[in-house]
Amino acid sequence: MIDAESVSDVPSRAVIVGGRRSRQRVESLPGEARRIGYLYVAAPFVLYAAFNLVPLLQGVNDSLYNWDGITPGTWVGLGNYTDFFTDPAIRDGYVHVLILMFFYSFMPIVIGLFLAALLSRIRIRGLTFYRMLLFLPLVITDVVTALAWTWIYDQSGPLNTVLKSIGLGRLIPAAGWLGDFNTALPSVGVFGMWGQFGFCLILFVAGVMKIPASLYEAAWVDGAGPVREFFAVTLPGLRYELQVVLVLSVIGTLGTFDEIYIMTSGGPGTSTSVPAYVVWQRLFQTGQVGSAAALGIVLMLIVFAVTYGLNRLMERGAGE
Amino acid sequence: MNTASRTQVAINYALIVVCSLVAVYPLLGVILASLYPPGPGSAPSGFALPPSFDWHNYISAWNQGGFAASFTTSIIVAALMVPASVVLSILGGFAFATMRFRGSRAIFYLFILGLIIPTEATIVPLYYDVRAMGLLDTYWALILLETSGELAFGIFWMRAAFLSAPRSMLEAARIDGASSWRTLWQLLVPFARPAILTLTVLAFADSWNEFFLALVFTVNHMTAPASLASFSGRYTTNIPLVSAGAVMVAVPILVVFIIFQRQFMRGMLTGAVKG
Amino acid sequence: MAQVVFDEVSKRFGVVTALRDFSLNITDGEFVVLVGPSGSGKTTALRLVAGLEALTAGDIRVGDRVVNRLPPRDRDIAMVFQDYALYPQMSVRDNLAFGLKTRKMPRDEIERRIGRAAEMLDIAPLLQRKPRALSGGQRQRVALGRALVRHPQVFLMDEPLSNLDAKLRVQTRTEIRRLHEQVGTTTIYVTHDQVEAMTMGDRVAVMREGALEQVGDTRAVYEHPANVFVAGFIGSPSMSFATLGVTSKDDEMVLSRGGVSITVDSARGLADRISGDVIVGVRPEHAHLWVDGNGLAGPIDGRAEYVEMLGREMLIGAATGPDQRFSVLASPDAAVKPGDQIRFGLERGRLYLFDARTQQAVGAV
Repeated sequence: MIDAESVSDVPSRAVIVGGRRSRQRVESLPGEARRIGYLYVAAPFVLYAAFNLVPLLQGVNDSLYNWDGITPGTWVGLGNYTDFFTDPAIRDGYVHVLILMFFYSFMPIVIGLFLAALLSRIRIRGLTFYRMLLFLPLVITDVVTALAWTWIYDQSGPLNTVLKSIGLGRLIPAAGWLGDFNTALPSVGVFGMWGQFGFCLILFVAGVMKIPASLYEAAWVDGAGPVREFFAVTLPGLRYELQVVLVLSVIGTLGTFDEIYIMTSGGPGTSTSVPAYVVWQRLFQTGQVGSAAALGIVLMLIVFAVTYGLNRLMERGAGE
Repeated sequence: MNTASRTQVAINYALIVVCSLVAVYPLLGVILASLYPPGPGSAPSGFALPPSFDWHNYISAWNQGGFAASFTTSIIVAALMVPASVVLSILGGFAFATMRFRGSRAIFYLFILGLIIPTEATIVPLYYDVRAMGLLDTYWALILLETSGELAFGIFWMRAAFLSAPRSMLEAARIDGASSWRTLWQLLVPFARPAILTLTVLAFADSWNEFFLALVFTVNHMTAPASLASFSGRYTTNIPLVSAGAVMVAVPILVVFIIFQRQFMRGMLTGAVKG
Repeated sequence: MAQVVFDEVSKRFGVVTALRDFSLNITDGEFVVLVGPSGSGKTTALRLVAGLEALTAGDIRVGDRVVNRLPPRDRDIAMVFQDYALYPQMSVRDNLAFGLKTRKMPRDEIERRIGRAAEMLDIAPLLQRKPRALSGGQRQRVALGRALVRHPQVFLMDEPLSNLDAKLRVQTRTEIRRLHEQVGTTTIYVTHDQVEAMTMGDRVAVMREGALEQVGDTRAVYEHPANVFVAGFIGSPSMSFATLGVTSKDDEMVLSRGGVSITVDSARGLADRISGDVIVGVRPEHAHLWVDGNGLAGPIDGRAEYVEMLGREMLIGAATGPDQRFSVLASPDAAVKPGDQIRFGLERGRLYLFDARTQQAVGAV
């Protein structure tokens, strides 16, 4: 029986982005309400266009001016964009998020994989309870969690107490973990790592459960040790979850703001500045509104590129 | 292979417990700190219990942090934003899932775009737009922006939920003569109740936790997280006092999470499915 | 109640033609079964009447109205789906009432109709339950009830029994027939199961690849198949076929090839209608083990490839030549084992001849 949906234009359950656009005439069913679709879509679309799409275009426009937000701006064309190559403040911001990605994206994935591999596939009683705890870092308002970590890093806080008690007191920077030029960013990174690892762990554990037991049994019969088993069965089986987490965490890191604001205000100096924070600064503090707009646009383009690139990379890997 | 040895089981439990402790410890630390006597230099330096259980911090924090006002703001914003974004997502998702109209694919892709447009890209023009509308520092700014921000995910989510409805059920409804409105509210919405609940819970979390928008658009009418940030800025060294504020801000979302944890996890784990 | 007319109806999905110039007149009150393998277009034809698909060419009339452009709700039809399509969140009562409420029927009329349908289908104790609390058979009856309460002009049924287990299927088959006798509404019933078709329909329309192969009452389709496809599709165990060469002289024809050589009386003019080879079809119940003097056409010698005990009888699959097989029904006491040589014959008058090239029936000998 031919399925009409396979040849008509009805949006299918298939994966969205990246689908080939096939232009087909949509034939109508008897008495099918077509125009009313626009009515249903109108309400959300109007709001969305007003507060997401139109401002996007406005942002592109704003980015082409040097503007302090009060007096009329002066046209600079792509001047704000070329600043990319000249303004260290901007460059540093992106370098910093790149570093943060190691903590926010790479490490949680590695930890999650490692732990998921260690946890043999047996039922853990009370798993829901532990899952809840592991999810907490991501669910609780990050103003709260960032503050919590600020206090952990405090000079007389628990971290230093523990370090001193095991004789590593000399590692503690004089200006404090968040006040030292070298340790501030990694300290924020560790916070992020803490925030993300629970999610990764749960995602991977769930993913491992979905791998058919027969694959593990075949590997065992083939005499594979735990390491070989991990790379031959577990890792490929988690390909999809890995892709998802990688894309989400990388994009999420690019937009880091809250913890920087709370923990370091971009400091000391500019050692923890990130693009989102620079945008905020330039909008409210330094009156470089056009530049802020440009930064926002560039951030979006980078997100696009990363999404596309990562997806392509993972698709290619999956094809092997 | 399926019967794990005793040591394997022990390792499993140990790992899980340790990880959970790591996840929870900072939050426990905040609760602990809030019970210390207020004032600079007073804070847990390790795992020590406070010298006394000082509940007064909560009262002081509530008053000094102006949390009555900011909680009210957060609640009002959420109370309006959540139903609005859920209903609009239902309407949009329904149209994309069941109706065929010219340009529907293009409009849908426009919504999907919203999933990857970062707030930073539109924050600059939005600020001036909102100011021009005279809505700076009002509930409406946050309500409108948060609702609109939730639509990309919400429509994607509801469309997926409605698509999973059996086609024959919808055909039976057509034969029974049901209008699109009736089909949506009497058939599809009851069918998709779990998905709608998940969306509601996630929307609430997004609204309550929203900080960046609150920072940009409010000064005197701040939401709870924003006023907490401001509070902590004013009393930086008084850790117990600020911790009390932090705990209070965390409680609502914590309670919602505990009650609806299944929905949260389903939404966050499966909602991560993108093309 | 009304007649339903398919007038040269075609349906294309993109490049695929699901239904091709399909014409069929269904009279008022008739129970017609559309039967055929998957892809035959039977479900498409049904959905076109329902208005769930739009036709590409032709007309469909319900009563005296051309309904091509009418939405399903205005066609005065009701449909029973293969997966029942009950509204999962509503009680049985609300499921039954739904199609009536949308038509703004007064409350007491709705109650009356539900009561009557519930009684007819024996679902009164289930009215408060939700579909997930019902068994498959119960759900099916609720689906029937939902169609019943509408009092439509036509019932459309899309393989309603496919999801039931064998015993339930037989039971529900009888119930549907009984309902039809009571209510008398024109019914179009789609199935891929030819046994169902034969037991339920006043008339059976055999379809294949979007076209109507033959339509007629059960005897006509069984005893006078129009072509090889219909002959092989209808009847279980199915007909055996062999392609044989024909030599005729006077009133006799010799049909032979491979291990078969039988002499039959040639009906008047039959030999003239045959050019080239014929496909001979014979139903297993008309092939018997040879007993001298039994008047059968034959004898034919073959080797028993398989023997199936059907309880009441024994089915022997005999190979008589390269790629040449016959099914023979014998008594369960017959002493035949796989590998045995057997001798059998075919009942005269029950050999169907089909032109080997066109596959159309030319006669029976």
